[in-house]
Amino acid sequence: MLKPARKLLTAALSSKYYYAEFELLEPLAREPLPLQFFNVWVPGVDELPMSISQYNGAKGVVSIIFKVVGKGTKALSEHRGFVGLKGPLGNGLDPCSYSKLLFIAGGVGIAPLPFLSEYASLCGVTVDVVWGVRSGSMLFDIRRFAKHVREVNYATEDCSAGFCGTASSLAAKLLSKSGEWDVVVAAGPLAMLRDLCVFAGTGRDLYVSVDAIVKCGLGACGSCTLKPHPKLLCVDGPVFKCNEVIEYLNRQP
Amino acid sequence: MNASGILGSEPEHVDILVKAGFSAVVTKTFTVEPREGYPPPILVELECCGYLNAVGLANPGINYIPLLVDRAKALGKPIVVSIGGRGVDEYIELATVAEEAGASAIELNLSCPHVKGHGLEIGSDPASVYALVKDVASAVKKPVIAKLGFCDRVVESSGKALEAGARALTLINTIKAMAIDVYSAKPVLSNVYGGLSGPAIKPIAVRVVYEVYREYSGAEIIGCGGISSWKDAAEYILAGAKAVQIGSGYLKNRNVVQEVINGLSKWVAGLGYKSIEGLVGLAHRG
Repeated sequence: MLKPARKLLTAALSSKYYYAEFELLEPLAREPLPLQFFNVWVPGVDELPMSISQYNGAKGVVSIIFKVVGKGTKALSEHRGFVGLKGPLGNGLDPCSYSKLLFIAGGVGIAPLPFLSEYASLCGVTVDVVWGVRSGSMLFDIRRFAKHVREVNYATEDCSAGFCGTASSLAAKLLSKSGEWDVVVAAGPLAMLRDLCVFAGTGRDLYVSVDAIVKCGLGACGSCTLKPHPKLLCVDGPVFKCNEVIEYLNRQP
Repeated sequence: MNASGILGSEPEHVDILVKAGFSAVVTKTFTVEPREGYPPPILVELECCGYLNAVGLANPGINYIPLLVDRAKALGKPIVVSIGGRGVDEYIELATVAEEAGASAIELNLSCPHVKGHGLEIGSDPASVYALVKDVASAVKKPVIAKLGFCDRVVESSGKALEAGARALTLINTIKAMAIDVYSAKPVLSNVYGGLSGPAIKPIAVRVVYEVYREYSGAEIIGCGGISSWKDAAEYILAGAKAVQIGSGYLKNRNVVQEVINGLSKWVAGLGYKSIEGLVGLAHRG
């Protein structure tokens, strides 16, 4: 069902990423889990899959962090007034069975981290972050939205801030040095997820949150099929163990 | 079987549907040319009672049919290829490809309510149904199933389809409907109009099945529309359906097939029948 929500504000967080906050006019059908997403209906324009960045059930507020890549996301950034929220969709991840979580984000893959870390903090799970972007101007202080994160390591490919290199190369360094984390969660470009899957089966659980084209979000249209796997992102994912989607990741350029 | 339009356009979907427990797979309606379909929103769940869709017959086109049929064959499952054309030549072209690929049967989509030129215009006129089914059924040896939609003369069209050589009927397709969002004051679907499916249409569809079975005794009917439990399936069987398709019910509950099968088994045994065949059309009999 499309739940009505009203946009409260939009803000540019950096040269690349936007933040939008919505007030729910009706409660959601169910409480979301970290790494779930909404299809956000911009009336008359489009319906777009967006990771849930923040959720406050008591206040009835939801927020998203996103980048503008085309007509739909541009309209979302400029839209005032009502939207429709379909969801929460997808399987999400409950981090509470772990004790120390490393979140590896590439680019806009940072979007689900605030909700994940707030949720984890309520059940005593420590969250450390690696966030890599192409250039330093794209970064913003993730602690503004994720107050309970322990360590944040930034990486820039143009070496303008933090570690000089990609999120996966920084993550590889940290993972080789330390057996600290019992779970690793990665979100970002599919090629990055593919590279990180090398670390699957090295004594810790590794989850990847994948992207694909999402249209209906309800498991009917099949647009989000993660070929050649018989898996749909919108109902079986977006969170998977590497072996469930490795062929899909391997097919990425 | 799954209702056409629940996945069914990629070989991977065949795996998914077989794993879900369906005894036969029905493909998405294939058209000759690939179709992108409509932009989102294409599917919404309605709080009351079902789903509204205007997917727009998105499909990868005729060349993909053998890929799906091959996958079903590899998994040892029957596959019904659904086809939709803008005229008899396209239906025959699609049916021929489906037959050559080895499809178990061909379902003619004569009733898509929201794509101009594909379906409901043909399906709502008994004479057009007769002509089309006759041409397709004579062009192929495989069983041809006519899937009809809700319209004034659906009982008559059913008779004409059978007369023209259809081996079976699927009753019914989705029903033309719409939803308006009261906050933005806009229709929800990008196509404005769509097809309503799910519990809301079950009583309408059961009536069609019942009436067609009564008019044309011996008709092989596949009941479709709002089945989400064994009792819904049982209603269709009592009305005269020998098989059922589930669409929305599967979106809502991906365990629905096993639940329906378990429920029907208990029901058949509980009524003292050895097999479900004795219950087909029982609602018509003394």
